[in-house]
Amino acid sequence: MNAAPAVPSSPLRAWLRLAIAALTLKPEPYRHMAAEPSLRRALVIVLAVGLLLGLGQALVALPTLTRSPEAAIEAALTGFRQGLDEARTGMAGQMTPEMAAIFDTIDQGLEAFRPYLLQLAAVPAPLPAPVGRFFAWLGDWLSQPFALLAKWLGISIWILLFARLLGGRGGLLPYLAASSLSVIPHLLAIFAFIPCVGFLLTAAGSIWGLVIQYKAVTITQDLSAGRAVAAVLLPYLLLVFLLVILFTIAILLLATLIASTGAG
Amino acid sequence: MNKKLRETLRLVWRGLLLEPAAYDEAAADDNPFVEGVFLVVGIGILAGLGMLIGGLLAWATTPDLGQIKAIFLEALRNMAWYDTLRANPEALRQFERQYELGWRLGEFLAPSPSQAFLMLLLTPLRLLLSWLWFGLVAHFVARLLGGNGTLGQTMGAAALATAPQLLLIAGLVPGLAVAGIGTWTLLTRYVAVRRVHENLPWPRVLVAVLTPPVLFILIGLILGLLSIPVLAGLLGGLFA
Repeated sequence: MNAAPAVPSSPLRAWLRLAIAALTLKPEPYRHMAAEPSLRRALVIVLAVGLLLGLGQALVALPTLTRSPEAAIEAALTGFRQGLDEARTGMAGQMTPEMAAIFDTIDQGLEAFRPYLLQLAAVPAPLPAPVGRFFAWLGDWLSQPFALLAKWLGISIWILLFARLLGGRGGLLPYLAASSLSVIPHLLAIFAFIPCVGFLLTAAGSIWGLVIQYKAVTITQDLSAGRAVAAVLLPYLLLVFLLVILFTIAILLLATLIASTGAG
Repeated sequence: MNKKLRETLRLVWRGLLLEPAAYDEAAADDNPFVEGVFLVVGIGILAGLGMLIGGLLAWATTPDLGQIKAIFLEALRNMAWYDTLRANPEALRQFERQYELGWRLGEFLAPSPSQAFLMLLLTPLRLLLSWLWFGLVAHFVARLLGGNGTLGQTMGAAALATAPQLLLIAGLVPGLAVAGIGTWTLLTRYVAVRRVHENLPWPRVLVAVLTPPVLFILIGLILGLLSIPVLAGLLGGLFA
């Protein structure tokens, strides 16, 4: 058996070695995390990944900090107009005169609204506007680790519940410690801003995360491969099932409402 | 820093990290109920302070809503469809009333110093009530299912399970969405009840932990349904 990776106590290299071993599904990092179960170490991993994920988006949003309100409004209007143009192009074949008139009205409305938007941007707050922009930027960045923490904890307790129901025998802390490694592939979401490829990379990161959850379940819960797969996938199947039921109920309610309105 | 305070902070930190021994210590206290009150109120005050600072900063970075309301109305009045509205005095009256009502709601929800100070008072109170509700109901259910812990032990350990609420301190950065507290609290509460009623198998512990929030939601729904006629009457009066 290979030697266990070094405890990620301080050096960056030890952390990287642990991450690479976990990503390549070597059992040692999982065993190591589960053998000395500590939520502190798990939290460090989740929060560090969350901060790095948020940093990518924060760097992309950095220019907005120094952008003047006029430039921000101009950028927003340009973006909105591009969207309208794309919709126009997309509907080129089916564009009726009425629809064209609606598009023209929106276009004219935007132009008429521009001076007011500039006035709105100049409305003062007790603190200067750049301070508000800085806090909004910082808040967006720091929200990422919390979002990742919520996602990881939320899915992990469901997986653990199903693992236990399927005969798992491991404890809560060893599983949480090992499953925290599943957030590492989510770092691929840093590239989410790249069209098409970004989406594929994000999806790949999520699937990779599930594979790591599977590894954490097999190692900490002492389950067979089939049961571990079921424990990892059942929460998602349950979610899909609940969404289908909710969607069906919503459609039925809407149909009933329309029918009763029509009858009335 | 005073030794007792340092020990308490260390206990809260260990409780946050789900260390079973920390919950044993909280449950084994001489007077877990009184200690629990101090612990929960202390956590509530710290969380409330974070929210107070965040609320004040949010207010200080929010533009004047009165001016926004006036500019927006002027913009709407200069639009083509507003002339059609002017032609119908009743429709215009309705629109102005709805506009005013919408902004009044917005002003109520917008950050303000009074709202920020209210959070400082309400957060410890909310945590205290939540702790009492959870501790009493979870203990009752755990005993009903065969648990062997005492009420004092359950209350002591449940007080420590409030530790994840400390994350609310992060709310001092306006715009920061603090997520995951609910799930984390569920985990700390699970560990608390599991340590106190150690003879219970895990599914029963889970039932004891989930009963208080489920019961709370059910009671809320029933009260909500019962209050619909009252609310309808009030809103009817407002629109009349």
